[in-house]
Amino acid sequence: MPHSIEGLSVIANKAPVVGTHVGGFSATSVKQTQERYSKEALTYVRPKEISSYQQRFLDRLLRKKTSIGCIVAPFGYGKTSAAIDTWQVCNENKILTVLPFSCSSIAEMGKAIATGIEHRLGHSSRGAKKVRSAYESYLVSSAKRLAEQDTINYKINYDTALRSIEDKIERGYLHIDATGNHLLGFFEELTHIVVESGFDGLLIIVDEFQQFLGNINKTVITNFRTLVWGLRTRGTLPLGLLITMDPDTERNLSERAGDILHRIKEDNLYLDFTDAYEREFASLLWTKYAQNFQFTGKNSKIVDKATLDSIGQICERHDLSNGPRTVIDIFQRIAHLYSKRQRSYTPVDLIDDFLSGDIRFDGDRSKIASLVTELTSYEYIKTSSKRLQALKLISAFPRGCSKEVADAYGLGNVLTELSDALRGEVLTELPEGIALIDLQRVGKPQNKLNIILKKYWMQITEGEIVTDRAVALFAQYAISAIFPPFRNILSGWSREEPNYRLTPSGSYTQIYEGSFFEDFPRRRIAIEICRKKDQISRPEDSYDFRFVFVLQRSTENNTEPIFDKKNKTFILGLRIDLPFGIPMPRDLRWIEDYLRPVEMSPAVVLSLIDYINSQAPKIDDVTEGELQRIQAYSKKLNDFLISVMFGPELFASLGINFVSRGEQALKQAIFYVLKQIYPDYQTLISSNQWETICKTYIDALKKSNLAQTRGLERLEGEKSEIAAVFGFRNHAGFESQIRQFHRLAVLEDWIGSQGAIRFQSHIGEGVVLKIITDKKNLKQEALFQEARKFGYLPEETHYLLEYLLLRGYIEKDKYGHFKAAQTLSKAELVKIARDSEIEASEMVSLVKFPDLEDLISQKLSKVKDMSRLTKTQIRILEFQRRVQSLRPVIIKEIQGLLGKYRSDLYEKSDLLNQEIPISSTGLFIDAHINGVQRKIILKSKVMLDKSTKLSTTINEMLKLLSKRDLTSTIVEDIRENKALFVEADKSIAELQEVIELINQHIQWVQLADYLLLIKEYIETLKPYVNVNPFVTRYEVIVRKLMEALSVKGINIYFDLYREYSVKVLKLYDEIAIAIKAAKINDQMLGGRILNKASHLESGQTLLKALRRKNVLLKDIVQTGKWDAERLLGALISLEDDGKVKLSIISGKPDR
Amino acid sequence: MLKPTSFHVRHDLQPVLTYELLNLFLSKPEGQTQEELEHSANIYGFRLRERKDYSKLIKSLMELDVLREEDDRFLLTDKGEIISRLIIYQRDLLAEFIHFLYYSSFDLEPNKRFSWSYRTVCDALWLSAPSVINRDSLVNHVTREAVTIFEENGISFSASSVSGVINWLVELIPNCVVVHGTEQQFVRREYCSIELFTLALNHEYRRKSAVDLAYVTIDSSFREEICRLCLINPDKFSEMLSLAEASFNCVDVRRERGDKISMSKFEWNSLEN
Repeated sequence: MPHSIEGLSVIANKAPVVGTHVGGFSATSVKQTQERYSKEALTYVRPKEISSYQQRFLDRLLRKKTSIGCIVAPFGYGKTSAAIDTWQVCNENKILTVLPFSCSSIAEMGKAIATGIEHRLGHSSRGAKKVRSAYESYLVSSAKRLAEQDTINYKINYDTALRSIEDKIERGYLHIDATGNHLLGFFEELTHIVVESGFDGLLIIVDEFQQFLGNINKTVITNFRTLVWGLRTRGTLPLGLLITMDPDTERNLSERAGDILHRIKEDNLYLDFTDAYEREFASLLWTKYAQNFQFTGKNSKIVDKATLDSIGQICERHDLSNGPRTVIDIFQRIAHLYSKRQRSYTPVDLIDDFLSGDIRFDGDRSKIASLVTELTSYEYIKTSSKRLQALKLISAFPRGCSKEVADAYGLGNVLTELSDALRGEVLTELPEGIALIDLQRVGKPQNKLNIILKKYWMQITEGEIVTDRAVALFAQYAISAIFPPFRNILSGWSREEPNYRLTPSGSYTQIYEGSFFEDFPRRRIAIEICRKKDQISRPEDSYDFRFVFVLQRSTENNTEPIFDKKNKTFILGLRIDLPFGIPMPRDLRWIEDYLRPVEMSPAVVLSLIDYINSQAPKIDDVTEGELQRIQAYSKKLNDFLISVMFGPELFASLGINFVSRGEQALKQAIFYVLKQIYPDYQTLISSNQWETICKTYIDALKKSNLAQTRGLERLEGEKSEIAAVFGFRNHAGFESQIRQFHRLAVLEDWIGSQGAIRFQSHIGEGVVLKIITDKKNLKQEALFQEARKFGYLPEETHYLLEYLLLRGYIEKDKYGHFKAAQTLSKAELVKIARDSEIEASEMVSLVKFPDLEDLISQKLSKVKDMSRLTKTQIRILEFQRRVQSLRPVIIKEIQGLLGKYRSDLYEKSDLLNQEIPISSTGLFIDAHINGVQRKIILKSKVMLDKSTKLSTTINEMLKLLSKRDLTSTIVEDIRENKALFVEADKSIAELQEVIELINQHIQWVQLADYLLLIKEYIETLKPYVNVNPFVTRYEVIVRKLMEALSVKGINIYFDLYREYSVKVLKLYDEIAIAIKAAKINDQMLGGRILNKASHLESGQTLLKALRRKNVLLKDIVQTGKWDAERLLGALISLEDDGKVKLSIISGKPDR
Repeated sequence: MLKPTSFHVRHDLQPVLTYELLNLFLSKPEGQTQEELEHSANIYGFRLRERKDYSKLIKSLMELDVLREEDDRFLLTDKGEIISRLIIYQRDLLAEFIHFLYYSSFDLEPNKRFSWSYRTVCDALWLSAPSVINRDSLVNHVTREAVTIFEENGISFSASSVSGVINWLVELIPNCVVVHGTEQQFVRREYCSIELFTLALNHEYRRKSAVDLAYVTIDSSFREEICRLCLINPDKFSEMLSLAEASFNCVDVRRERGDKISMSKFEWNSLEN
């Protein structure tokens, strides 16, 4: 074995890659290849992935299972080394493994395998002979056939033809069309030979399989497919085929023949070890080198541990290196330098070599070199050699350079200095130390959020994170996000208070009112947040239920979740400082890296969100777009926080299984709780217009009878009528409109012009009815409170009560108490029917109601068949309801009548109150007349008293009626008033009598006046005419009148007046005319020449009077007799001299 | 080729219902019948309860290769499982994933014409951005394009189909649909989720990589295709590419002699690592 220096030179001169043998083996090439492979195997560091892979392969082979394996890795990643190692491992385990080779055809493959096995078995062994024979048979025979054809075609010697063909094959000029099938048969045969020779199996390793595949044409694919499929069907053959290829080949093959790869993968012997080389690879390899080349003692003097770790950190990243090739490259450089420098290779040396290009394999982009070049150009860096060194040191550790490492190189203080100065911009702190941000896998932030993060990191302390402030932050960010703002009655939430309220026990509480679910609108959910369980306040009735969140530290006793159904409380404990334990969303991971070593926990994220939101607007020159981006990050943090904090695991111990996280999980919890505490609740609030719908429904109920409202009978009729019941002007669209009543009204028929609906009760009515039945005599407010316990809001209960009332299931008394409508016995029903009949009869006696008369005629109180109790009850109750509904009408009628009576009484009383005249003629008749007058006055007084009392009674009655409670029967009122009507009629009649008496009396007074006038006129006429006839007639009248009045008095007042008024008035008229005539005559006869006009006027007047009275003036003047027949007409002519000449003519007056 | 689907993009498949469905499916890996889904939705108070029938939703998700049917039960595909797991903690990604599936399905399966419609609407909006979303105009555009490309007249595509597209666009974060007064306006985004961008890279890479090419050139057409799919501004491509590169090992970009990309090892489950 070479000693240390020589060993290093071996390393220094090591070829970058291991060459694979190509094609068939000869005795020489076998030996050389074996030596080469063995040497390689000495320094091979087997990654554990490859180790377990080899073990799996070996296990299968030893269990006699045909196996196909594939190793994929980029160029320089050690595929060949792995193949060689596998060759060695399998050989050590009695599996004959052909030396790994590459080839470009089936023929070549066959040759390589055959020759490989031959040499392994021993060229002269029986097994080797069999191998040769099999080769000839399966793969070369086709060459013989070709030779035979050539012999015929070209007329050449057969042996010559065959030699020519074989030579071409050997040289690669000719590829016999050997197929996958031939190869399969060949493999099978070989396996038998190998097993016969004492091995446990056969493994063939074809390296650089892309050589074989070439440009992956159709023939190649077919052969390969045949081979793979064929091998799989030979399941119990201890035969293995291992191929290696690079990723490009794999990708191409995947596209062209993905099924083949898929088949290969099924055996779980498919290995891509691009990422198999982990951080430790470099150290392990160097250790192996040191062991094999015996420089273990000087190991660390050549390259120290930190540098080996640095190499490992770089080479595990294929964006920064070419994997194991880079490792080898670096080791070669180390070996080369040590011999010159004789000092340890450091991380700074490594970076210098990247910069100088002495490390050739530094990844496709030379990322480290370009980054370090850029950074070292900064003034701040390049002006200080210490900073330069420190930066290079940091660059060598993508996972972070610790202070200890930096101290070891005397750069500890500078590291700290750089960390403070460049943190956030260039450097970041990782768990292992300070690192360059640009070497991290996550991208550099593209916005100004990093400024905020830097400030946050600098000022935040753990004590600050988990404080009582966490409660406020939790409320603001974790909870408020769950309750979106109010939008309408069915969506969104409003807060009872603008801020959370501090309770006496030290917790913070808020009530949200609103809706998540259309089936539970306007719920009140209390949220209480505290730090300790004993801070939880007592339960209240002012909410539907509450969530209590106890925010705890990990060090405190955990609060197990509790669902206290009785107190409607859900208690959840949350560990606020527990790290999330899962990766953050990709676009937030840079934040996580940025804030290291602070671990992301709910408390940290809450304080961070708050900090971001408060600081973002304050950043200098922040654009609107940047601000929006920062807000987007903040929201994403918030959403992630909520999704982590609230998940199924929070409720699992309660046996409650949810499927979502975050806001959705809490909503599920809320739904679960609501269903638990209000299992029978069904809302009336179906839309924003729910109250309008309820009112429409109520109107519809009012227009229907009890059987219909209870759903016992359908509401049937013309479609337009039915639609009108629900307030629709026409029935078009009614079929869909009815759905808004949500099965409170169900359309049963809607055909042609006819339709039928059936009313149905709401489930809430049953709830309210039960409350009323159980609690008895509840007022509205108390009912609301009770119904609320079942989930019904007061406004809903209000409508439910209306429905129940209209369906007749409950009643409301005059004190406002609700009670269940009674279940009536037959006797009660009969009584109700009878009472209704009586009341109805009284009503119709006042006002005609045809339907009421019809109901009366049905004589429901006498119905015998009560078997159909419900229907009969309904009819009777309907009758009762009708009667009750008519009470106001009747009362109004009564009031109207009473009013009329009162008016009449007043009117007539007024007449009685007028003065009754007396007779003061001085004649005999005065006494009689005035006697009557006194009697009339007395009578009037009595009547007036009576009338006044009656009016008072009527007024009192009217007052009573205006306040009358119509919930009870009004039979007595009707009867009482009917009696009053009779009394009033009588009183009015009596008043009328007295009034007529007074009128008559007045006429008598006038008559007396007439008698007096007659007497006076007689005196006046005496000088002019013979008044004896007048006197005689006058005296006769007077005497008979006196006699009549004396005997019969006022009793015959009216009859006497009729009898004598004619006579008196006739006498009066005649005397009056005579007076007039006499006056005129007197004037004329007095010789006075009257003025022509006045004469004429007088004459005309007289003529008119005469003509009216049929009086002949002549007779008046001359005879004094004025019998009407004789006093017909009179001619009064006006002479030319102005004298009026009266010419009496007989017969009828001239016209 | 399978029988072509309709051009109609079902508006029934709304984001909130999809989220709930995927939650339910994820909770029962053995699959569920419609009845079982309804039962679960009722237990959890899901918005799904408002629907009587989930067949259209399920059919849409099957067409997007999120669900499959087995023995009369519906269950998540591998892709569907990955999406469902990711959205549990990042609900905002759901719209991104569904948008991607809608947009890209036509390239993989040309019988999925609803995907063509979806993409045509998105492309029209992206090309004309910022612009008011005029549904009638979009209907006309799709209808005309269908005549040109498929020689089909009278396709089943209406304003409700456009709604089926907009349903998802409005859910994307950051927004590409903003409200101005009573109008909705489409704007290009300044960024998108890394996941969507990476899916877009992979999709475009697969379309463009030929047999012998391991790397695809990132030329202007490549950039534009990605930006259209992701609905972002083209000048944000580089930034997003850097982020994707830093987030996923399988995003391999080479920058010598022009930018080239390889998405060799990308699979859907890479999104979960």
